[in-house]
Amino acid sequence: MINFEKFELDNGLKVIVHQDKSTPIVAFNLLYDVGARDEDPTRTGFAHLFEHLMFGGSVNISNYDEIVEKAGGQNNAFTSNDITNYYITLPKENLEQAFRLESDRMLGLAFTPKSLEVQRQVVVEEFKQNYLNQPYGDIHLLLRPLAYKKHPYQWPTIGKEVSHIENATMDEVKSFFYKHYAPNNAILVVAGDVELDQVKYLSEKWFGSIERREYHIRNITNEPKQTKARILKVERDVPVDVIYKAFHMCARTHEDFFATDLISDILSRGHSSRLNHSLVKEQKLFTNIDAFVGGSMDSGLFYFAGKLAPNITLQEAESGIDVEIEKLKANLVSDNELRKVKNKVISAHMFSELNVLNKAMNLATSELIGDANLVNKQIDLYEAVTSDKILTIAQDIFRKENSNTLYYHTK
Amino acid sequence: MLDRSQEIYFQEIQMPKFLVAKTLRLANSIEVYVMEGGAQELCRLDMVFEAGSKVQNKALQASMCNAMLFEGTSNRKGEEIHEILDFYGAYTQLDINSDRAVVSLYTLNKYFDKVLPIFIDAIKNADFSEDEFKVILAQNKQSFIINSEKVEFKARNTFFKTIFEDHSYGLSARIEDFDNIFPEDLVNFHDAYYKNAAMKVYIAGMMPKNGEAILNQYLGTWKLKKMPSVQEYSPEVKNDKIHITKEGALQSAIRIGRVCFNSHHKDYHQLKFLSVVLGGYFGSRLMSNIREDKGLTYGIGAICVHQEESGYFSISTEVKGEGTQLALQEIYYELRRLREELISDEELSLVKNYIMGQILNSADGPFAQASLLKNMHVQGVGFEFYESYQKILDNIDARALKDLANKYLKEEYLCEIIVGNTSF
Repeated sequence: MINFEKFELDNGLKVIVHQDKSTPIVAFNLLYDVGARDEDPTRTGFAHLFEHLMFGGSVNISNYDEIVEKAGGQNNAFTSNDITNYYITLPKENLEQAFRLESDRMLGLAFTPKSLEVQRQVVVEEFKQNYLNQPYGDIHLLLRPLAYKKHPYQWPTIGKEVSHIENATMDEVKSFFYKHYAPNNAILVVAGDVELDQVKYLSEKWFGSIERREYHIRNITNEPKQTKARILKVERDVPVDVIYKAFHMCARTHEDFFATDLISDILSRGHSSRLNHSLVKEQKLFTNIDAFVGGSMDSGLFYFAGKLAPNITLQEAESGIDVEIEKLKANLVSDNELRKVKNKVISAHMFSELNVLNKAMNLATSELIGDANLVNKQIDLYEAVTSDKILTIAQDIFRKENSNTLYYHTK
Repeated sequence: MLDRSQEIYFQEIQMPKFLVAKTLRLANSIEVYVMEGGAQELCRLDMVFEAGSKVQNKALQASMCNAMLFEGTSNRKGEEIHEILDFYGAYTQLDINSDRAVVSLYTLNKYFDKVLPIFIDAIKNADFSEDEFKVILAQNKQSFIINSEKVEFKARNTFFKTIFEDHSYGLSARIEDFDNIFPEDLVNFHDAYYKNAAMKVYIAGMMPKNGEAILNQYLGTWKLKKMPSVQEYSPEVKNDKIHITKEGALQSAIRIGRVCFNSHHKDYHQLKFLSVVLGGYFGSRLMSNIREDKGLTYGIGAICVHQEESGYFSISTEVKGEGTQLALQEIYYELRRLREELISDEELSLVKNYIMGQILNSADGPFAQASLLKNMHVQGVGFEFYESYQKILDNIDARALKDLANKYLKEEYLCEIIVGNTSF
């Protein structure tokens, strides 16, 4: 159970406070409701590039990192297809430093040409290091456009191609900022040994004077229902064949999400899960196979990802997956197995509440989904899933015409 | 009116109050260190064995043995072990390095009595059946083959081979080793380093009800052997330059460094501090120069690492292929600055604060705190290490750091490994 208080400033900034007196540090987590899905298709990778630029100096502060370090803090950020999340953990005595730093960035960036030039290069190197100069690094560059034809989930957060980053101009960067970075498009969570009044005072002091902005109204084309199976075959200079399958599923905000997530647990959470037991240990078709849900804010994907065992063909491997899928569509999951995956979810949830940064992030994401208190309702929502529900959802998702398959061959 | 450009006074960072480890002695005199904290009814149990790769007499023996600990015993098959642990929502974790192996159990306390017997049986009585062995071996072989494609992996292995020569710290597996390892090798290793071996045990979180009795019943009957004594190893310092070309690589992996010493050496903490100044945090000199100024890389770091019998200093990065030479030049430039210039008071105090903050951050939550304390205890410096660490930091001064840079970080004491673009 995570206790919290919530209030909103006049400018629309939502603030959530969680008190935990047992830890010497405070987590300061600021989530902006902007991600790669908000990008122009000809300018992809911007939300992420922007995350880098946020560290290049703001209106009144040129040395963001130095201040965090002096304050004994640690900071980082990440960008997903849905959100951009910035966080600082620091000793509670220095909490106000975080308010000063983050409010100044929200107010406006310095937008120096040098920062843009360097961060463009850094991001290009990140692109190379993680996506191009890495065996299997380009899988999501291939799979996303296969599965999404209209929706901006068709590109990963790093972007479609290096050139989009290389060609980013200062004007585009500025307009991205004013379009998406606004108090009324953000959620702040402060968690640790703090008092509500103290956080109220500091929030008002530092963020209160930032004006509400007319941020970009999201207008995303829904992905049309897929009607035909899609297949992509590629050859690469890699040592092992790999297969990916992606099926369209509901959004993170949909009531079916919890049951769908449990399906992925039945298939591949823990060593005793079905795929691991049957396809890896017994039939030895794969050396590794996973099933997981993307968990995105708009309709997402249910993935299968497997590395083939030596001397197994992609067809043999795929039919192994198909058999497991058919079982889920034909038979109810036993009470015992359902209990097992629920127990696993409950304990994972309890372990995730052990550190204050995790709690802060969970609160912020839950608030974005609709209600911070979802963080406390989650267990009940998982508990409520029945085997009938699982059967219905499996039958709905795992249809051939809803599938996107990537065969990743060795050369 | 709020003056946003005005800096706020930085409060001095206090060392946190750490959990206090209580020692529980079991019937067979195994010591269990209990670090209680947090409000949830759950715990983590870590068993630390002196079963790292340095004691193996055959490649892959230690890592394969570790990887197979939950794959079956004389009492139950692997699938049964996993089924029970999963059913009760327990998680296990296997971790191995050159010095030791750690086997961890995460469980809710209400199931402690159900999962602990299974967990202990799995470790103590592992039987390494042929069938399970093949599955795990194939998995490890495949990850090895995939990793071998990465420039970073090649650079790292070449680096250790170069600085540690024939010592086991320098050895890494080769592809043919996967055809030359058999279940009986694991049985032998398990006998010597798990089944009849000494161990250290740590519990973090909340001690389960009846925890002591349950531990005594399942762990208190384990037969022990004395720990092997540590052999200090200090090979000759080398100055090799090894450049390996990888066709088509978009980036080059660079490793520069040398063999050093373990954390008991008088210069260890100072050299570690120096490595933080150079490349241990986001605002470090290497990051500022090579990433934030020149944009040659996504990341670059320097570390000073303790190993039981030795230790090393290393700079590592992946840089854009055509920038390899420039990156090298700038790395050596930053090393030279450490040898020739005094670090300013401001930078020193920044790094001290950063390090204090890092310790504080690692103290968030009972598991994190216990890990921090455990690592120190395992190294043999004791749980109380952080009580005196403040003093070590206070005593660090610029002149001594400069001397240290001259003593250890001259170019002729450093090896240089490059994998990727070497056409310069």
